[in-house]
Amino acid sequence: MLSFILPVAILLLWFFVTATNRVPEYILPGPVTLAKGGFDFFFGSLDLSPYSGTFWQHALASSKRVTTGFLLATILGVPTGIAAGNYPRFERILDPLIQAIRSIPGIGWLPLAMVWFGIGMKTAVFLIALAAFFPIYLNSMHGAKQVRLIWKRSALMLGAGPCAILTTVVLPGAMPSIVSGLRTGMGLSWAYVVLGELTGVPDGLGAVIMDARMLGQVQIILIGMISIALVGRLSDRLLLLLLRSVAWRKEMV
Amino acid sequence: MRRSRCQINVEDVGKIFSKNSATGTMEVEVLRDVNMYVWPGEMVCLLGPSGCGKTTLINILAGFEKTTRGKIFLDGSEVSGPGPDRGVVFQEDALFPWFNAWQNIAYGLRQKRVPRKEIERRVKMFIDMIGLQGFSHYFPDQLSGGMKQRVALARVLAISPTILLMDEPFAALDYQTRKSMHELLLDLWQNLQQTILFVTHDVEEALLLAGRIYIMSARPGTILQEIPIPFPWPRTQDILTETEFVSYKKSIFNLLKAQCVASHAL
Ligand SMILES: Nc1ncnc2c1ncn2[C@@H]1O[C@H](COP(=O)(O)OP(=O)(O)OP(=O)(O)O)[C@@H](O)[C@H]1O
Ligand SMILES: [Mg+2]
Repeated sequence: MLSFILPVAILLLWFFVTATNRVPEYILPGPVTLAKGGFDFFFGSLDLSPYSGTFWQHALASSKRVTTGFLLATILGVPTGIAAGNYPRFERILDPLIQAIRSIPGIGWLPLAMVWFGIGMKTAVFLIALAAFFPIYLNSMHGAKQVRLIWKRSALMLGAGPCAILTTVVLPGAMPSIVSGLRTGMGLSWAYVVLGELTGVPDGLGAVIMDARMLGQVQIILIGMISIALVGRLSDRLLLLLLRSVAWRKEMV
Repeated sequence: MRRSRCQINVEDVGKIFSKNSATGTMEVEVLRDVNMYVWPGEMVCLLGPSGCGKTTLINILAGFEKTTRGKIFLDGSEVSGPGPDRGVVFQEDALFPWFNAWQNIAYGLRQKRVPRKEIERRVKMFIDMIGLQGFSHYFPDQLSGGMKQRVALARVLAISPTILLMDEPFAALDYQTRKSMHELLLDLWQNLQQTILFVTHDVEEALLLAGRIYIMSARPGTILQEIPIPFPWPRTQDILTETEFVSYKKSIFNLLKAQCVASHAL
């Protein structure tokens, strides 16, 4: 109950200031306008704006970019992280370079990415992969370092070779940490897809909010923001379900 | 020659750990001139005060650590690394927490690529043997301390090692559970005839289990004395109250007490 007090109060205040026109619609549309606009954005039945019913198309475009970038980051981040955590020599070779690159903020790569990849899918995927790589790499490395020596010794003593130790001891031992890295990476992917889409691509939820600003459709900006939050949440849930189904044990995820 | 007929032969083994720190290298001498042997099929206990290097010796025998001096022969050939001929039951909980009891026991057989049917048969046999029927799908953190050590024991027995290295496997258990683990171990040993080196600092446990006891000194650990234990097999808990047992216990206690005093004086 307590947790509802503040949201309800804000909702009431919002309704009050917009209904009485203390804040004009072009700065902040009221809850009713927003709800209608949202419904229209999803189902297109009201034909309120050029964006009627386009949610699915844009969500799909953004999801494609996020999925591609995130998969790239995972494919690169998990193995290198595990290797760096498990083999100190590999860490000494690789880690300084990665830490150096990490100190450049992800947003700072945007102009260079546009030079390299132009405007569109590739730039967004590059930015996402780059941003998601670091938490995935770092958490995988941290997880691999947490793997207890006694587990590795147990496996050795039971006849496991180096490969079997990686797949049956280091990977499951590092799993909880890898999972948190992947989730952070997924969250960042959604942040960076918006950045990648602000630059004039025709579709995607990021493009919608940037575009709506130019058309003066404030309610679409807000609706777009909420849509990104919803899709981001959903992808986190889906990621968890997927990881749970491949994990050795449900409780690890 | 003794070296070729013994299952385990430890010759003049010394171990020094060196640690690099800001102030230079620090050296800790843990083992010095350790000499001991174990016959095939024999159960020998290694008894010594805390910190005298028992775990270090087990790690060397298992092939996890190298000696600084001296050599170790197993069945006449020198140890080069870990291998499934030696099963280790560790002092700490060492089960794989992401595998359930069944998968933990099956682990070694899977590594050997034993056919699935055969794995199932053998794991079931060991689960029955350790009395954990109905618990095969429990994960380590859902098992009691005693059950965990049973699984740890079954996990190594499943790969039929010729040597069992047991490092205070029951030290963390309560008295009753420990007693039942002793019975289980004596039972298994009667049936499987493994060579067992059992580390403990519990005198009663050593006397109940061992055919011979080695007493170790405080650090740097060395073998102080070798004591043959004459009680006949098969043994049960009943011998704990016999007068001969009690007098052995007393004299070993006194030996160890001297070591404890020595280690505190260091
Ligand atoms: N890797 C290591 N590096 C440095 N010192 C070590 C290392 N391993 C063990 N030691 C030291 O060696 C000594 C003996 O340790 P060990 O674990 O073998 O004793 P223990 O006899 O098994 O003791 P306990 O009965 O408490 O298990 C200790 O003083 C410990 O600090
Ligand atoms: Mg120890």
